[in-house]
Amino acid sequence: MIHINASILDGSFYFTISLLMIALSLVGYFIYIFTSSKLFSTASFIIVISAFALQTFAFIIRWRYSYSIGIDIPPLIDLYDSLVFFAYVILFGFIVLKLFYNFDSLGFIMTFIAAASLAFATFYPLSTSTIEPFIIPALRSYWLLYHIIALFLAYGAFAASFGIGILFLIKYKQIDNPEQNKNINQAANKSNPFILLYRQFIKLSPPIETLDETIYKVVVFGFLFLSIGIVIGAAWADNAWGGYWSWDPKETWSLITWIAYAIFIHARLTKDWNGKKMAWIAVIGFAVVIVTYLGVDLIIPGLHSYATPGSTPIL
Amino acid sequence: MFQLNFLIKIKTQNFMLSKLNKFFSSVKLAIILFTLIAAVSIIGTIIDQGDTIRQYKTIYGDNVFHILYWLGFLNIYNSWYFIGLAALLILTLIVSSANRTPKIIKEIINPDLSFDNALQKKGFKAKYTTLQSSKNPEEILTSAEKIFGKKFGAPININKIKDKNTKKNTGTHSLLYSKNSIFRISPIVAHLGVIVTLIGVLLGIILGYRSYTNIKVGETIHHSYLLKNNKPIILPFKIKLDNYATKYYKNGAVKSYVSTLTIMKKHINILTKTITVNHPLIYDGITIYQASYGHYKPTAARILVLNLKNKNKKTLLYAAPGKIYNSKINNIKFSFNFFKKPEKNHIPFYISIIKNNKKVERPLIFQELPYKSNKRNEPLLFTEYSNNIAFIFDGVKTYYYSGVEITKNVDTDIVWIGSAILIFALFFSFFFNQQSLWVRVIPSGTSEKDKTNKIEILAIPHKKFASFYSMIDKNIEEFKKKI
Repeated sequence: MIHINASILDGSFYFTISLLMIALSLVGYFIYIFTSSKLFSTASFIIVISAFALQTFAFIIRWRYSYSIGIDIPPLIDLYDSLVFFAYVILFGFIVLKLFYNFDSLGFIMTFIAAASLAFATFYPLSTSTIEPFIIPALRSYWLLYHIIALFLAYGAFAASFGIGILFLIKYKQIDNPEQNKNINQAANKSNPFILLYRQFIKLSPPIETLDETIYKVVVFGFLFLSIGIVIGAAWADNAWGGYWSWDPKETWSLITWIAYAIFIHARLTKDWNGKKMAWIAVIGFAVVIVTYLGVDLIIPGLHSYATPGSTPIL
Repeated sequence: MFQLNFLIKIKTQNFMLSKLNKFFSSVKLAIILFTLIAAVSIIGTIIDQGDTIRQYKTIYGDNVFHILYWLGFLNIYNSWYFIGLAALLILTLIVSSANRTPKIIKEIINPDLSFDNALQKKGFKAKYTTLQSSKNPEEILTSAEKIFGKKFGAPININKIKDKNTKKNTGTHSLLYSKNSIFRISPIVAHLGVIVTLIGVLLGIILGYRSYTNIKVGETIHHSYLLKNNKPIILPFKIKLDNYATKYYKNGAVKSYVSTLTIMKKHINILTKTITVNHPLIYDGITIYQASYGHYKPTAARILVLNLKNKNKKTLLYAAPGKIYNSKINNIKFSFNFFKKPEKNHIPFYISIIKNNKKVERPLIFQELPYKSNKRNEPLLFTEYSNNIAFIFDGVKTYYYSGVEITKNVDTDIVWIGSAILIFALFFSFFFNQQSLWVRVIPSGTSEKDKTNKIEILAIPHKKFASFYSMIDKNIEEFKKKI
């Protein structure tokens, strides 16, 4: 039987509703790509903003509930909390990007990532929304809030750079290879729906230079917050475990992520590296982020493993 | 001849040095080193670090274990190649900073204001536009100031440039804007932050230590074991574990692990403090963290001996298996024993009675009582002998220990200062970019007929941003309309 996290008490019901809304906006953005009708993109954006507002409300409900059962730290502890918060940060990032740049075509990718994260939170059996009235001793610290917020802002930014990187690569392929483009144009006359979609997609996405600039700015934002999050985590570890660095798998992977984006930032200084390579680093960097965020917990156990049922408690 | 040789030697040395210098300050080398460090780190997360040899042999088998050991994969973050890569990266960092810093500081303090120089080395980021206008140069510059001033603020040193130029080339007028040039220093400061952090880390490794030890309740220790090699280290004071307790939530989950420690110097109690996770004890530059807990293998059973004739009389004995104890009731002695072949779902131990130095044949089997012990929350086990004497099994005697990590954290402040420098510098280098703009008007030749003036605009952003170019384009369009 599939378990769905949808309890009004702990706020997960509202998150599940927001999942439906985001799925709806995803469909809206999908149709927008086909039709390039402003109506759909605007409607989708309004739904995204409402979903974001609903999630904010749900977080308040969840925090109040966890406070009422005696947990004095915010509900950002287990896998469910974290996935939901990830979706929240992604929506936030998308809304900010959309306000600064006119990024309708990005909506398709961003709502997809947010929906995937929320769906994972809602349906994955090991992710439960129930807030247990106890937390393991190591997490009883106020460092937690700042550590997690900083790192999730970074994760969200890297997710956005991934999305924009994909747009860049699709668009770059078309500009880079006019010969193929010609073929596509010919094929389009035969009204192949995929080719039509592809062309539409390219038409709708911002100019390649803007994409390049946005990738850089978003990565840099993420890099700053990744650094802040790692330093806060090190300070916390120094306070709780007896050393600021223990080569715990999550720590090591966060360092690898940091290195990946440090490469990105330095590579821009090398003159012969063009935007295409940068976009590739942004895409690969996000894969590293996913390993750091989920892979390490689900595959390699360590001090950072999420408190999933059946896992051994950490001191 | 000798002198010549010497000169050649110095020259080749210099040449080699500058080549090395160039090699170590290249961004490409930094990228390669970054990639290699990341790759090595990944290996370290795939293969568990710091397990025992026996654990490795069980997981990988003997042969693979030897290969992994030889490759240094089992302690990869201390392997020579990992430390070597890190050292190379630090070298690159220092050399490149040392190379770039003087140049950039010089450019900030005393910028090269010459248009021609800038045009010559404009590089791949600059945008160069030429326009023509018949208006007079002063007028052109006034409107340029109006338009570009909106984005760039006040032009710098305009008089100085004019003076300079009037000396060389009469009639040429230029405007120079430079925004946020001070923030060119921030990448250097960011690298400095990393260097400071790494110095702190190094000092911590050299001067400090991380160690771990278990302390039995009631025991006093004077040494601990280093995490890196398990070698003992003498502490500057003694630590006594007064008490250890695990506190639980109502549902049985652990709420906290609490150790009460006393620091002692020369048998004098200096201070007593409880430590929990997240709340260590700091004394004399040494920090003591709650890291683990447990109990040693039990050695004796807690046996409560009751005199059934006189119910008030009870004695608590710690009975080690096989040993004979006196119950002090009717001269009855007993021993606590385990069955050699315990039956399934039966209590695996029993009491044998020894009366007048003879073992009574039938062992006393325990029965569960409907009461639970206060401490263990488990049913009490009960058995009796001839309505005279009863034995209650109340668990085993366990010695709890608290695992503490004892760390001498030297110079962590340097690490935090370095990290803070890095983060602030990242903020400024990412969000405050230098932009410069030159506008130069070259009047037409001296002939009165040709009255068009050549206007050159050179815009150089620090980073190649589309938004910068489109902003410049927009302003140039506006400027065109004015002239």
